[in-house]
Amino acid sequence: MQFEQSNSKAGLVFTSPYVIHLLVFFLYPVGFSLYLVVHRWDLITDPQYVGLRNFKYLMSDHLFWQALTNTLYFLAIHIPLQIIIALALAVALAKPLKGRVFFRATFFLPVVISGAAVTILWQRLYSTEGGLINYVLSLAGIDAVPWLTDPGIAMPAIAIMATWKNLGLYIVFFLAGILAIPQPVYEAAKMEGASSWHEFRYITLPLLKPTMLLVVVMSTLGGFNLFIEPYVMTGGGPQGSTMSVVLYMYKQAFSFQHMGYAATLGFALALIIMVCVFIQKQYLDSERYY
Amino acid sequence: MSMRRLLVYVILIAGAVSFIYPFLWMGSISLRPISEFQDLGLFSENFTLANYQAVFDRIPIGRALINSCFIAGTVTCSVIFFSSLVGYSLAKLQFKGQGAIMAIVMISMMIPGQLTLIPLYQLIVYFGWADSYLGLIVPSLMSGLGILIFRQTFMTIPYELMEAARMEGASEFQILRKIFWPLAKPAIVTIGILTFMGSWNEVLWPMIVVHEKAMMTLPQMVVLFTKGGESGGQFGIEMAANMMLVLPIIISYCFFQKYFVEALASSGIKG
Amino acid sequence: MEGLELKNLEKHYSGNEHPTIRQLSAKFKPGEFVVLVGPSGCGKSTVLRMIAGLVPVSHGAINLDGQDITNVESNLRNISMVFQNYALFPHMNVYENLAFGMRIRKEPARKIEKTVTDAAKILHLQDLLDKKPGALSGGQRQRVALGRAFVRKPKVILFDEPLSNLDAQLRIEMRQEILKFHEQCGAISIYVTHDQHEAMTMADRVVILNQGVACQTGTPEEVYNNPVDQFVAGFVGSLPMNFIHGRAILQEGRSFFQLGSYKIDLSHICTDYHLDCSKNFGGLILGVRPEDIYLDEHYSHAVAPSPKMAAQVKMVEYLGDSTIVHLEGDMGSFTSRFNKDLRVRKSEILNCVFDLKKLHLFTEEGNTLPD
Repeated sequence: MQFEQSNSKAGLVFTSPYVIHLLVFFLYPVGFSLYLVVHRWDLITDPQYVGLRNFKYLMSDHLFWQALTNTLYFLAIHIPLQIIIALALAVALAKPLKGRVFFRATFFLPVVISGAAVTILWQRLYSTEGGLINYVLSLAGIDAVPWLTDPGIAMPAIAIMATWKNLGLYIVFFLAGILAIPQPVYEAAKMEGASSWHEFRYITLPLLKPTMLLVVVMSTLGGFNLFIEPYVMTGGGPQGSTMSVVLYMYKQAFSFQHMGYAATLGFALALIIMVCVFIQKQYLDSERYY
Repeated sequence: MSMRRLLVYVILIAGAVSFIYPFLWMGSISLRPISEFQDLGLFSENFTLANYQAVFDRIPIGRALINSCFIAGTVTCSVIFFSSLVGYSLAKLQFKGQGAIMAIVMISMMIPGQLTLIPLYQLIVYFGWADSYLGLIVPSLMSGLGILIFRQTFMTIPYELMEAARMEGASEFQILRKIFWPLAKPAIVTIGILTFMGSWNEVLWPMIVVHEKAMMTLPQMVVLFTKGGESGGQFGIEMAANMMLVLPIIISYCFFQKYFVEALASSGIKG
Repeated sequence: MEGLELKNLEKHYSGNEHPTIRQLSAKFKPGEFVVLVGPSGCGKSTVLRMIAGLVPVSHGAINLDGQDITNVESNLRNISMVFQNYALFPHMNVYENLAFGMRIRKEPARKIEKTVTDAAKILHLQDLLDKKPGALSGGQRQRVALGRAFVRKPKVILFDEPLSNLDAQLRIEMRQEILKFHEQCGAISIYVTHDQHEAMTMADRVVILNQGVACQTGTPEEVYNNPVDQFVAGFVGSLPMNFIHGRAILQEGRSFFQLGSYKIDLSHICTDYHLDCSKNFGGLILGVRPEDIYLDEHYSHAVAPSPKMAAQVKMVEYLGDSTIVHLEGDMGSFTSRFNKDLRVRKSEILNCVFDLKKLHLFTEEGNTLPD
């Protein structure tokens, strides 16, 4: 039971630091970004009103489109790979088996590590001179792969690394989702003669839809945030094949001092992210049944 | 053991090795002389701290470590303190504008950070906070996710406990401090871990606002060290610097593994 | 005036069309145990919280020992409260729970220790002082909650449905303990419950609330024997009163309640004046408690029997100490409570009589006839 309380003062006092912070460091920047997108500004001279020229430039800027395509390419590899491996490992871990906690903890380790550190490590793992990965491949008789220097392979290489880094988190999400499915549902299915595959296909998978949405949305947000990985490994190359939108924005802003245009890129990227997430929610949102 | 079960174990063990081995190898390489950089094994008779010595000689990494600790520590304390204030107000109090604040918390979490990145940088420059702790810390003092987690936790605490305290003359802040904080320890741990890790691992924002070596954070400095050539492209030294970046987190992860997993799992509510 | 007085208390919540509490007035004398009882949503908890100072009063006043405390801070009112589920602070041990208020008020450590030790002695909590509430039994928890109320030496102790979540067996024990505690304290106790049985068994006086209005105040006997309206009549009593709709008629200078061919003599419960008035009330509601219905020939001399009525048994509940029989006859459906020795079978036809002295009469609107 909730009763009206005479504590409006405390509520105002408690929330006012947050509100002030929000006004200065969130609402003002949001407003200012709307201002910047219609201006040209190099940080030194006064901003110049340019109307929609930034957007027009954006539409015809093939580097932006390449960066966006790269990011979508990254997502197209990363998300399915992530879901398949994480789901498989989560299903394995959902069975009562020895060392479950150990395995979960191990898979989770890269999640807590800084993306920068993982990238620096993987740069070495991918190396063609004494890299661990190429060494393992050579044991299988495969020739050394120029992971980070071949334009066709660099982005998939980054996607594989990102999958390795985030896998543990998604295993935990899926595992929680699977363990939340009530056992009697499986027992009922068994009494109807369902095989393990049937159980997975017709019970586990459909009931994991909310988790699936979570995983897809979070990987998408992560993918659009791609920055330090290409920055460290490839600098956006080779031939712009790993240039991400955030890295491109960073370069526009801090290498070329195109503040107005960088803000426009940020604006466009934010818009694209929101549209993507919205579409994903439309397709994957469903009731939680349990 | 059935074949199938055996297969599951083989896959899990292979997976575990592929997750742990790179870190072990990194630690091993960081302890070995430069001549062994192509050795993919873990052991050597020539373990040495020379690479770490080289890192300390070439860059002020100790300073970066202190910077990172200070920044992450301050941000974490602030986020816990202010988020609990706002979370308490949203969960348990009634006041004008409450609905609006709740709405704006949600909006601030929905809008991608990329939108405000450049304007925020302008603002920091305008305040004269570039290359300073203020520039690194102040924008992250509050967290919408922290507010949501506290609000959810506080909503489960019965009103009667507040009323009992109020009847004894406890102020709202005393109620928060003496009753809600102790009862919300798991939420505090969760938010503490999420915020500290987020701040410790953050690299884009420091790279934007800091250019002076003395103000750099650890990941930033390690990235520039390996990328910028000061490492001389020597694996061992790069890995030594990298070890200093990951070791604090790995050590705390070993001790508080369960809390890390729980904390990150609950970050999913923003999705 | 000594004691607690509520004067025309009102509570309006913004957004609600009707006031939650309307024109509530009541007086409580020192040492009295008063129960506020009513169905859920009747506003009883709101009244309690207004007295406690947890909810602001919209109109009206609260006086304690002649002082107006309507707008006094909760902690300065000399009032303490025992909450639903006891609201013990789960992270503090018993000692800290008892000391909480004094620590908030920054009282000297020595005084705190003495007060807590004294309270612990009275409530037999000495051995539990360093235990956390989670490690206590239900009865021990209640004693801690009582102790927390006791250490303030309050003039008024408020109880907000403290027993509502306990199992039946424990509830009876806890009732006894609360009453004993009440006597030790000598304070005014105001006890809120939705359970009329609890109200009747514990109270010196009960205040019956319905939809924010105090319908009746009186001793348990008064509200049981002379309910002021149909709501109170139906609410009080372990089995609800039976209500039968009919008409009043006058025959040979006597008034009767008539339904179909049945006529029930009302002279035992109506004065001549009523009798006169009843002409104006075409429709009437006759109330009869299940315990005032007897089987033909099975009643004592004290009973003034009505004419026999045939009714068929629809359902039988053997309770051990009595038997409840649901009947249906020309008077409609009604429930009666019979002697435990009675054995009846379903579908059997029984001849029943009402005790004419124990009948209740209401207007169609559910009010008593005007005096």
